Amino acid sequence: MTASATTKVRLDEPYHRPLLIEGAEDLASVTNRVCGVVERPKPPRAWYIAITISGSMTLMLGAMVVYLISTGVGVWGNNAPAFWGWDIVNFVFWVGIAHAGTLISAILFLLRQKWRTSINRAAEAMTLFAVCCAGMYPAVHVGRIWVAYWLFPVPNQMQMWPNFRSPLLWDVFAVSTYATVSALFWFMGLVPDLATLRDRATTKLKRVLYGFFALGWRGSARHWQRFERAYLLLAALATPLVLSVHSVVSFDFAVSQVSGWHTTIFPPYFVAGAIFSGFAMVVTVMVPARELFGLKELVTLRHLENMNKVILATGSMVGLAYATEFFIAWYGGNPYERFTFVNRAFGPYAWAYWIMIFCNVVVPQFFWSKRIRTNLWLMVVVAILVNVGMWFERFVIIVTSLARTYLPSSWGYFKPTWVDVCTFAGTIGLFFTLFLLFCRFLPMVAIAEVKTVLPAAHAHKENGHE
Amino acid sequence: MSEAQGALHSLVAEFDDVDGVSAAARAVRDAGYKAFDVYSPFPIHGIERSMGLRATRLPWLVLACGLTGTVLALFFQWWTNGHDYAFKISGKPLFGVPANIPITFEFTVLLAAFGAFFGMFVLNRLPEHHNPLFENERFRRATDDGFFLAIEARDAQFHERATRELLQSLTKHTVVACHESGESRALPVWVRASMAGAGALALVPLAAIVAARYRDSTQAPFHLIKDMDSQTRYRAQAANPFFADGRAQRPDVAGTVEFDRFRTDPALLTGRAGEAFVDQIPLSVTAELMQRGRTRFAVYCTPCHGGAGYGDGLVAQRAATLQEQAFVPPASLHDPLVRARPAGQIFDTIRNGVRSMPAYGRQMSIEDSWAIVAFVRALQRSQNASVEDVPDAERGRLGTR
Amino acid sequence: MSSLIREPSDVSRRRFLQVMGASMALASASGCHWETEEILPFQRRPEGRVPGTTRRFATSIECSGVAASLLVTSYDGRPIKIEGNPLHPLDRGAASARSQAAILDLYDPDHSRGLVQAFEGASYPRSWKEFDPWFAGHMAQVRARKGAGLRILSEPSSSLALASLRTRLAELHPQARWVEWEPCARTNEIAGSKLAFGRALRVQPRIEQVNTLVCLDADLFGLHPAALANARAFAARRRPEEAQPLRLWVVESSLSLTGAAADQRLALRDEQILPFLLALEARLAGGKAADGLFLESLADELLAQRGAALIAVGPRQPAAVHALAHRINANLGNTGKTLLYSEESDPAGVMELGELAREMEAGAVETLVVLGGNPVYDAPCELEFRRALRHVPLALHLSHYRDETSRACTWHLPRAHALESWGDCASWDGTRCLQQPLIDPIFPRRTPLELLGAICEAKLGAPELVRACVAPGASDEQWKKILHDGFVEGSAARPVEAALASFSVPAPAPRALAKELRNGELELVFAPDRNLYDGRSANNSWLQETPDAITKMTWGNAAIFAAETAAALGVEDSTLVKLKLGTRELEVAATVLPGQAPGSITLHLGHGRSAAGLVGGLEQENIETVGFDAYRLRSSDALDRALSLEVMPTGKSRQLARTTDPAVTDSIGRKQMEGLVEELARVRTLADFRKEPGSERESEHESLWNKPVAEGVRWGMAIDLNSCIGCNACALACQAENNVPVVGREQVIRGREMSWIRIDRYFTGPERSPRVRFQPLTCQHCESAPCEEVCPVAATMHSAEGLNDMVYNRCIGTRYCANNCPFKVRRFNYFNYHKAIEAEGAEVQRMLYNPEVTIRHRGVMEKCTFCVQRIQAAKIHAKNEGRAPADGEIVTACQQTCPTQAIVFGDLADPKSRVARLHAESRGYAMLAELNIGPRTTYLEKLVNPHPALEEHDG
Repeated sequence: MTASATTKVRLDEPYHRPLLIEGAEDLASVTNRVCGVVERPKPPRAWYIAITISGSMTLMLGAMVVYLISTGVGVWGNNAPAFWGWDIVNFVFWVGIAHAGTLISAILFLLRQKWRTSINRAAEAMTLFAVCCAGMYPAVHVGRIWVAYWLFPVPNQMQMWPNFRSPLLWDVFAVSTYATVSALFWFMGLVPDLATLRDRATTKLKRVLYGFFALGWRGSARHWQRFERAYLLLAALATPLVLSVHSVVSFDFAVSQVSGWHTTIFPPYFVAGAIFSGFAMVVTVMVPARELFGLKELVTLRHLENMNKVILATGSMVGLAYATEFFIAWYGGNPYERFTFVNRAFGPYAWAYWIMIFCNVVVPQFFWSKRIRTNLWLMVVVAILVNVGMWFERFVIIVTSLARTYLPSSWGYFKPTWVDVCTFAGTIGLFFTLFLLFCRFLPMVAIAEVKTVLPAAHAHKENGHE
Repeated sequence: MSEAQGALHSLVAEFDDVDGVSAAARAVRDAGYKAFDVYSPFPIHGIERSMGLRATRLPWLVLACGLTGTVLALFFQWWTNGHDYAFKISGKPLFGVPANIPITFEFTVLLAAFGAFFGMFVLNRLPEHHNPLFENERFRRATDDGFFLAIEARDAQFHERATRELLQSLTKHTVVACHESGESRALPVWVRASMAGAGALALVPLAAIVAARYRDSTQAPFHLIKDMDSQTRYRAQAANPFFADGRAQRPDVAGTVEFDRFRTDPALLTGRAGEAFVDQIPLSVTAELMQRGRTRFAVYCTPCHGGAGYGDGLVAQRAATLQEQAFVPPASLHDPLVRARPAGQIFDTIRNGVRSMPAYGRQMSIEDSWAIVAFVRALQRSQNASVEDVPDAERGRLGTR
Repeated sequence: MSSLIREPSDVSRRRFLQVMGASMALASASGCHWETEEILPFQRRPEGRVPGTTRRFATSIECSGVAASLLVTSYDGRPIKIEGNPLHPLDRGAASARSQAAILDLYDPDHSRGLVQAFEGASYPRSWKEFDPWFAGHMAQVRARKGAGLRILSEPSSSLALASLRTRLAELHPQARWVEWEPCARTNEIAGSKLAFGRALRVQPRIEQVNTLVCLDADLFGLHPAALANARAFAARRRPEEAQPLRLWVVESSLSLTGAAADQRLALRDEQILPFLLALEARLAGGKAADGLFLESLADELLAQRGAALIAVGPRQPAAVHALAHRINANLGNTGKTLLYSEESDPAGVMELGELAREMEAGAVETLVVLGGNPVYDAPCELEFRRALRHVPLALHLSHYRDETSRACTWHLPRAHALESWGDCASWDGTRCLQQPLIDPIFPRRTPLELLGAICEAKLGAPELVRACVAPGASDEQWKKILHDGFVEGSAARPVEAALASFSVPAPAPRALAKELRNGELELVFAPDRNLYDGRSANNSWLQETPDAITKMTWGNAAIFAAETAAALGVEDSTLVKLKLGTRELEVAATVLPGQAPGSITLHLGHGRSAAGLVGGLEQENIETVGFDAYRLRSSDALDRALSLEVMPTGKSRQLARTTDPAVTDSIGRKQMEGLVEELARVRTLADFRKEPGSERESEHESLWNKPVAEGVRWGMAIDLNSCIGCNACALACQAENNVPVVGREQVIRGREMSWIRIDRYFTGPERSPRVRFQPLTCQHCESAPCEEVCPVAATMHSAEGLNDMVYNRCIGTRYCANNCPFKVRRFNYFNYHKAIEAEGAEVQRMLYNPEVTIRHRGVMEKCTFCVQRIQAAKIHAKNEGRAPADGEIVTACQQTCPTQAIVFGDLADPKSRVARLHAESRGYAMLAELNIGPRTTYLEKLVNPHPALEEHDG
């Protein structure tokens, strides 16, 4: 092994490219470390506690959905004029979370950001799980879920087709495409690592299972060549996809004529917000995960700090968007638009608005300080607050705009019911359940990719430094 | 050293690091081998050059898929909303590109992604769950920290000893021969059996559906979620178990008078003035009334009285052929007695019936009854006309001099 | 008949508005197969009965002794909708909200279905078969005693047949006494006319002749028995074309429909009306009154409008005020021009309810027959009528519902619904109206005529009796004509000459002049509820859920406070307060309303029923009462108003089920509202209009795409805000026509009411004398409807005739359309609101549904369709006659019943059609035109006619 492997990371010298992996790591140790998590006979007790909690919350979600479908959307707080409430709020919230994963993988990959290799796997997994939670909402929030399949252009005896002019239909296509592509992207990266697990498998069952999904991967150079090309292409496809998905979600609002929704700034604003919340969620999840499974050397403080920098940047963008909205509302001179925003900030929903402002605009500013940026506890607190703030952003956009639209006679106030709350809690449970299972049975870090950034990965004759 | 049962598959050399295997790859390439491959736990930069591999065709495949997606999506959206299921929506044009961009884009990406994903595996001939190399215990390091180079026996210039020497000269590890394993590559019997079984089971519901579709049934179709198909309102003549007669429609209350349907003119309603029948039709006899009368007559009267009113309608004929004793043959409308009757009496007969003739009052409106009377009068005239009735101009055509 | 009827299957004892609980239509009654439908025709189809077509019958309903003449639509022999009788001189096709809602009672599961006998605390179901022989025997004994101890307690009725039976009763039972009780009687008016003329006279306003109309606490357009005719005449005299448009002055304590329509309104305490009128008379007599600008300018105008003015006084005002008004009208020469007098039935020789109660207590009453009414609930509280009934060995109560009184009597006898009955009654102008049944009694119920007939062994059955009394010696043809018309032509009462007697009016109590009142001497006014009236309609869910025209409150009442009074007492909107009158207390919700006179608190009667039924409350079944029972505070000496009210806030709060959040609680909201209303519900003064007729219209913006050129008919609507008085008749018509469900209090609070047409009500201007704006709102059927483009499954789209169709069966319920509808007229079925009626045992309730309109289930969106079923029916009818439907042939339900003709529907493509001409009118404007969605409904702005001197003073 080369001596450089042992040099400590020096974060304070940006011009000097520090190593991405700390400690004395070589190929075998990386494999051992990552696979060790999966192969160890018993996960830590914390894992059991966590999955018990999240599992029971997931069961509650099931109960809520059954109750909802058997009784009617009325069990939620949705009313007139707020025909949409927590259902769509949570949908947008989870879709937002879902963005970090593919974004970290795809965009950072295209930008040759090698530091992504340690976190992209977990992030992608989160994307999938968040999309599951998000996708559930549009499905169950409709009045007659048993005919929800009419949303898809399936040939039917009624000779009817959906209406492609409707943003909701765009949404259907966008989200389902996003889910599919993310899944492909994630699985493809997973194949070589599954092969690793297969080859290290001690029991026949594991060997068969991992082997089946490894599809007979054996690290052939010819395979690697096509693999890398395909991966690059997928990344290149996924990147605009990520941006498009939240743009389309924002169309649900921007295309309508509800004042407060009908805004051209929405697509970039939503995308920024999505990345913002997504990264926050990655931090929230990865910090405990790396502690729990001893991956500190692979997921280093530098990774976390980089993410925090992204959070700071996107958070400021979101703040800018808020300001712009207000300015345009005033500058546009449309009395309804103007009222909507004054109403947000000072009307009956002011509390929600200011929570949003505090969590999304004020809190991230702490990340200007390196001490906070690199302090595990503080960064988790900030990340969680950001997630709260982003939930409220969606609440403010959707509910406050609907509650007071054009005719004062039909103004109202939205109050959630216990079912709303339990359903949302349930999705959180679902998310963490899936994530915990992932940690337990699949390599949390992309082994093969991490190896490529190890010094051992580079032939010395041809290239000193790549 | 695995016990070689099967034919020789390849010779495998192991290396410790990237440099070693890369160098070896170059040497083997220069030696002119084609069917050889390098195995490593991660993609090695520049190895394809060392091995002399051509660039993959994958990108073109992806491009093709993407374009297909674009075209398909656009066409489909035009065909559904613009052509096959065209509706006025918000007074907008049936097809406008802007509204169709998002879905077109998503679909393009989707198909392209499929191209990249499946294309990669197809080109790599994966999945291939069984490969002779897997027989080699050491080879498992290929996914961990080992580097291997294998020259396959199928290579044109493969010569066991020469090749082995070449490889041995490149690595410090001993070169290993890898043999086709003896046992068949097919799946074990129980696996195949269970798969076949599962397949068969999967077909059952399908078969059931097909069977159901092509069999007639007296039962009403299944209908799980009723929704608005079951309407609790009572449509015309519906049933309502609440009432003893089971009907949802209720009889009129005796003595009540309906709005708008109220007329007093006795001549019009009864055909009588006092006791006597009127001889004048109380409506103005117009061409329309005649036409109406003609059609009503055809509907209600011809079955018995016959088209020309001689009482020789189909019913009468049938009765005659069956020699029905009880059957009272319908009167001929041209019977002098009948012709002598005042219009009012004919009207009365139509409304209330006479002898075995049923009453038609409930089935036709007052106006229609009078229309029939008018038509009957015309009929009677037509069948009992004399030459005098024919205008002079026309008489010539009658043949009579 | 009764042989036709099986025993009623017991309806679910659940309050049938509580729709919670799993309502998935999975595997319902008919299993998991399509249900098979049977067709059951008559063996011999009755003449003129064509299955699937509707027929109409003229009949009438009596309320407080005054008839409403109706035209009832019947489908397959089932009455399904009530409309006004177009031939009737007063109603002219309009019907009040309450008359229309009566159809619901006919099929109400609570509407009494059988006799009940109470015996030693327990109650037993009985049948007429058991009752009749026993009762005949009993009456024989009573008759033997010359009717001693027999008392008949009845509602006032204008029926001749009943009167004839009454005289016969007097002959048979000379010692029997007849008692009349009516909680909202016209005693004051009669007393007033007696004071002024020495005889009972009835005022017949001739509003079409009036230029200056002064209403002193008189709700001519709301609760007045001839409100429909008054409103129509008023609207006609408000048209801007009118050379001399009518100016309406209103002085009242609490906003009424009339007050809402006023040009000049003064909020005075009820008791202050008398001094006001005295001052006015003095001023008119030439005296100088210092009493402010309002009175000054009113007096001047009255003098200027001699013979063309009318001073009307409400039934709550004491006799003196009525008498004064008569005198002033006479002196101004209005009598005979703007108002006529007709004979008022003077219930002479009728025993007072109080006297009866005392007799009962004394045990002097052996047999009490209560014909209708509900004295236990609505009798003056100090009479303790329930307790008094305990001393009556045999008390029979003939009533529609087994209500409070029925439960306190020994016998409850089911009373036939008006649509099941033969009878007669007189409308306000004295026109003799006929009552003919639309359907044989669905359950064995009887009419008062039948019961009374049994008591006095009448020879004739009800129909014959009615004919004999109403049209003696009429030929069959004439009789049929009467039944057809629903009334006797030209039977209106003759106007009588009224000679003014000289009388003096006691000077008002000093406190009446007091500007400030201390808590403890506040004024509490008892007013009949605009929907439930005196409480008889409390079990009618339509009326319970129709928002009150002014307060927009559903499902309950509240004490109405003026803002400053509330502030002074520390009372807030939606809090519970304790009202204290002497020893009696009542805890009620409070609400704050503009236009309420300070110091005066109004409480609506008719709520808080303890035995109304599953809707209105039924304590026995633990179904909570709705609202608060004002009768608990109402005593004989203060039937109209109590003057010693003490208000004590309890600190508890009570959420009121209002469809419009009244006080937009936060300042910015109110500010925005006041800004917008000027745009949305436009009002201008007549003067401005005459100066500058055109209302500024939002010019059509350029469209981003080429709008399709519409060919063929284009259905559209015009609503004249100048005519709308907010009476809710259209709301009820729509509810009945379109099978619109009722959702219940909890759902209304959540804002989930389903009404297809709603009447927006805005207050602007000063708190004391607000300008009230009504705006009926239906689906606007926009040309480029925002709802359509956002529906992912194209469940709502434009029809060829430009209707914005809602395809229920295609709807999956994303609710996006409703979000995108700027008018918020779309309604979503959050639950299956028809669940209870789908349940087993609701077969009778289902008879109510209009078969022409789909019943919407859970999870689909719905909204106004412009009564598409009526459009189609008219088109088919026209097609059968080989022509196109003529203008005015297609009439939507709301338009049909509107007493002021504010709503007009028709084809915009035909420039000669009425609606097209209204669209072209200079007053016309489209709501939110700037959105460029092209609503098909045009509103015509309201023109007010304030007195020039008071205008700017009003601000």
